Amino acid sequence: MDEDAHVTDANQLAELLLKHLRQELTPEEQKKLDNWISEHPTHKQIFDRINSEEQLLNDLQLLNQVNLDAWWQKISRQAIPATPKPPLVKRLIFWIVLFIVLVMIILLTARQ
Amino acid sequence: MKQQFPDKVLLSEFKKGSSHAFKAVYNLYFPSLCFFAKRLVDNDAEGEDIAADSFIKLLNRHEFFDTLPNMKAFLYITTRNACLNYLRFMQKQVTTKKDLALLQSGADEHVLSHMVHAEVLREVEHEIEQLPQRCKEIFKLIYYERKSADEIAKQLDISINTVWVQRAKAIQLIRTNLLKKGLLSTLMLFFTMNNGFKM
Repeated sequence: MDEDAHVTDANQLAELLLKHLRQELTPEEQKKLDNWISEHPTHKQIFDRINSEEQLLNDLQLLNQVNLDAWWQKISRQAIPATPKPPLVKRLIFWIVLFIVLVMIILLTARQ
Repeated sequence: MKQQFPDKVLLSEFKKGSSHAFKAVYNLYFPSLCFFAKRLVDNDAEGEDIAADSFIKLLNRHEFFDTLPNMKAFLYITTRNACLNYLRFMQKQVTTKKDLALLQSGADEHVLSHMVHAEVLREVEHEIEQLPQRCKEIFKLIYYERKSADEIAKQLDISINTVWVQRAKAIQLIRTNLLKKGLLSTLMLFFTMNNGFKM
């Protein structure tokens, strides 16, 4: 499952990094994190970025730079179909049919 | 105001297609998804477009998701694939050195790094979101909106001196240790004591 490998790893590593920030890593976890950091220069970059408070605050600012309201309008317009009420006639027919069926059932059971 | 649901309720409402549940999941994941996409394609507008498309796909399949981690995985995977497609497409148009490097060597590491980064930020943001309203407001004005003491004092109708004192202390606290457990509650306590804010 190569598809999910990224997400699984990302979840675990994010967890390790958060524990690192809170200084809650066990020696074993610390080892895992160290291994990951030394695996690739981009890993180290992210680690440094999270460790610098100035950079962390900058990145949080970037995280919040999205216009959430505007995007929500666009997304909900495209993804949530408006569900209009069925017209009055249709609703009336539904109730009338239901009524007739119920009356028939009552009559049929009464006869027996 | 962000919608607050217990996870179970949120999931069942989401499956039913409730727009409130959609919005709650949106608030939960959209900022970090955008951050991830923007960093990966190195283009803000394109990244936000891609993240929005992924989100529409999630909502269109709302009845198929049973857990929040499933939704998150779907969002990241869909976004990652779209970003890589976009980079491949761009590579054919104009070959920029950076994109080429990303695609040829270490695409996996880049994807993973940005995903991890986005997730860490989402969690930190979540912690900040847990702060009481007033405390969060001041924190965000100072650090996200980079407002001056004057502006904050006017906006919140408190004295400039109070803002200065708070800011100095907040900066000090954040410098020493932003995320050590308990710091945010210290910050909170400090805001409470200094202002008598009703939390």
